[in-house]
Amino acid sequence: MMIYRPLAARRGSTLVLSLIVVLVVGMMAGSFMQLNSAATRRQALAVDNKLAFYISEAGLTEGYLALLSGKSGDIGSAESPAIYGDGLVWVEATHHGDGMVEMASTGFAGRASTKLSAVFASSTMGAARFGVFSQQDLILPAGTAIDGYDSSMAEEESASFGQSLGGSLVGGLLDVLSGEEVPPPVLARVASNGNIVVNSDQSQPTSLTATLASGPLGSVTFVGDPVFVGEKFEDGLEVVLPTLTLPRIEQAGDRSVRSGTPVVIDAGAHGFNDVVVGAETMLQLNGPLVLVVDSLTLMSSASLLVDERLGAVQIYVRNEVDFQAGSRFDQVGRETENFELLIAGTGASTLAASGELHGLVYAPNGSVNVGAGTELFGSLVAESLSLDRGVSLHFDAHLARTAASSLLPRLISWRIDEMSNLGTASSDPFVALGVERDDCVRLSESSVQPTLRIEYWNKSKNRIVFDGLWDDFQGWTNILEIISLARDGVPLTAEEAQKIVAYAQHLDESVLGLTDDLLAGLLGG
Amino acid sequence: MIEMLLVLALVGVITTKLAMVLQQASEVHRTESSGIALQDQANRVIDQIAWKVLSARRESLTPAPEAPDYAVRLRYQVHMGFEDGEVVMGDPEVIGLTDTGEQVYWGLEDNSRTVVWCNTVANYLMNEIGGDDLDNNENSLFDEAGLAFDVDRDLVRIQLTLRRLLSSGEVITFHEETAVTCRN
Amino acid sequence: MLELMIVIAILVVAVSMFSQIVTSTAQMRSVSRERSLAAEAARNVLERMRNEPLSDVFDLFNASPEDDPDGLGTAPGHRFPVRGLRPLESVDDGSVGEIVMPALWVALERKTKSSAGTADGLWTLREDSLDESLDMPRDLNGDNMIDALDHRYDALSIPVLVRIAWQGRYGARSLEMRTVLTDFDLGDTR
Repeated sequence: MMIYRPLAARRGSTLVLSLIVVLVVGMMAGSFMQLNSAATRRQALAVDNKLAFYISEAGLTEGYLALLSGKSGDIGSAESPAIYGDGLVWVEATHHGDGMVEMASTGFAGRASTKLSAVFASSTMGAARFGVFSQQDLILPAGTAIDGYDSSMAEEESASFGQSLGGSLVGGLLDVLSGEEVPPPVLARVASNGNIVVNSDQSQPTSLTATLASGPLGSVTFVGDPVFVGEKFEDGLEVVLPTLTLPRIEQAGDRSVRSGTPVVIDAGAHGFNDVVVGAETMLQLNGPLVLVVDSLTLMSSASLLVDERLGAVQIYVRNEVDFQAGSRFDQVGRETENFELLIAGTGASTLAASGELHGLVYAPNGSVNVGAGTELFGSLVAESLSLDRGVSLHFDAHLARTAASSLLPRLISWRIDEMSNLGTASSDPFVALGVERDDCVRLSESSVQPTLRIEYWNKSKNRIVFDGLWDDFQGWTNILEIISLARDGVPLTAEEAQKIVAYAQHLDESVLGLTDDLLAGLLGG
Repeated sequence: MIEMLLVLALVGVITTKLAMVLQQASEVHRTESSGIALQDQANRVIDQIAWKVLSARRESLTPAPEAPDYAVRLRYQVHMGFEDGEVVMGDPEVIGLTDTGEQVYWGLEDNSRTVVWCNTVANYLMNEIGGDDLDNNENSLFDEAGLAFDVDRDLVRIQLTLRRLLSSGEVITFHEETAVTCRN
Repeated sequence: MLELMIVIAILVVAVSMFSQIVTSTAQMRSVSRERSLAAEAARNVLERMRNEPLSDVFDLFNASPEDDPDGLGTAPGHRFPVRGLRPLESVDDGSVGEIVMPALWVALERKTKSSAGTADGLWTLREDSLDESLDMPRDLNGDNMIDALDHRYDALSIPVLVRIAWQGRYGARSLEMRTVLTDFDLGDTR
């Protein structure tokens, strides 16, 4: 029998070859898996980074809202973060002395964490909020008429007794007799950091529909028998006027307008040195316009026409304004929000032009004298105010509200500090941070609540003191005059206190939620 | 004898099969790996661009074209922080295509520092046919390059298509797009 | 012969292992790719919402076409498709994404019937809506109170959840991205 035996040299060679092939295939598979899992891990982390980023932004929003209501801006803490969905976040706020607040928000989602930081600046209290205000003693001569109105309401609804006296007195009386609800008068705000003296005599009675607030150690005195509707407050909080900063606009030399033909300065940003409008000549300013001048003079029989219908007109004056008696001021749009006369100088300015000025006149460093021919609608604020006999001033509550809406802290800077991988096996941030879900507070309830001590005059003219937790105080909108305010035991400056109160009141006065009827009107209209 | 011939034939077949398996495995590995790498690169680059643009100051974006205009390069500045009451702005940066149009780079505007983020940019965005002045891919842009920026108020749309030619002659492309608003 | 059989067996095992690896990595890639697409789409939506004034956000991205600022049905609305992701079988309109805000349906008696639209109510932005995923109920307009009014025009913040649910290659999947929108007052930093 033949037995075939293969060559010894060949025995096992195919096996070796196949093992080599398996090894190579295995190595390729291994590297393939490694590449794929690295890419997949990176993709998963990229997704978690996005989720963590938006959780962190939610924290910044929450901190910002806390700042609006006067709180510190801290949200949760590293030991007790706030919970939002499946994410965690905390915010640390650092207050600097110059009104800047730095916030750092750290958010967690999945295996990622994102740290964002933002800087907010306290905004300057809109000057129009102060109404008719003088840093120095305010002496109102006989014949002065000051009242309030609301330019955002229709004329027939914005009734104040002051306006009624001038116009629809009969209508107002008929309303009362017929039992129709008469809206309460809009009170002007008249204030001073010093004393307020109201003069009146029989030949020229003074009429005030206003709250009168004197400064610390100041008093409100009536001489004669003025017609007064409103409230008086003495020993109030000192008002700090915001600094007036002139915009940097190149000034193109002196401008003397004496040609007799109207000269028009069109929309844009323009600068001149001394501007003089001569007799029988008109200077027209078309908005939107920012005009910076060293001085502005209207000679007798000169006129200034402001057309702010297409945009606001702001006149910045480095030194003084001189609207001489016999000159004329006219304004086409008559919208108080759209005109500002901002006087930075320390000298004396005169507003003796005849006509109606609708807007803000602001001279925080100098004095302003208002002549009887000028009727002002809006707000008038100065270091020192003097009024001629027979001046009429009308405080616009809408302008004051608009000024309050500029109280929102401004975002100055925002950046991504860090985006990182928690490096944990678990994709649950609760596990990574070692916190229990039940121990975490909801984001909307995690604003660190300071203590509040506030002393104020309420609208019933009672002196009230509250001492407790910030959120427990519900009387912001009932504050008429603030006396003092301390947060976490630290007294706030007058400006900070006023801003907090002003903003809370602005919220109350601004557009409220829509009722079902209003909604139905929206749909059906 | 016959048995020996059969064994030799089988050994030959098996050896051939082994070689084929190796070759196929190698090709699959190459193609799939390239696809994974390209996808990974596109994801990373689009995210890198997005986070930079999101941190930028809106007014610093140059140019800021609105569709149907677009830009292949974007200059911007980010906020570095806050010191002594002032915002500290970073040096102007640029993200965009190099002159060859094949690389996405990030750099300082003064060219003191440049980093290439990827070098496989397609000539045109996916499904766009260049030179016909038509919006083939219906993205409101015409004949746009492989990296395109366009702006709508604060929102910046970023579109990127990467393309790689494999040794086998096969072409793989990958498209990513995103939109972010400038936070400063 | 035995050797050959062993070789064949080894080869079969090797090849099947390799193909299994390729298949499972393809599966991983597919799932990861889908999730990536979903996250990118959610980011896009949140950024587009951020590009609108806060007082317009609710009207633009809610489920009521009647309140669309530019006219009936002109706003993006609350549902959207995502290229590369298939909708769930239970979804009719082809969309995979949904924007969720604190909304309550309010039936209304209209003063005059609008000729457009058939809904007899409206989705409203409400502080008293109950939705744990949005941290509701909570104050939205900064007055520290929770009321039953529609705050679409005076909200200072709006919690938003973007939910993407799709029929993936290897089963139904979902992703949620949430934030709180606000309009920061941007100061001039020049």
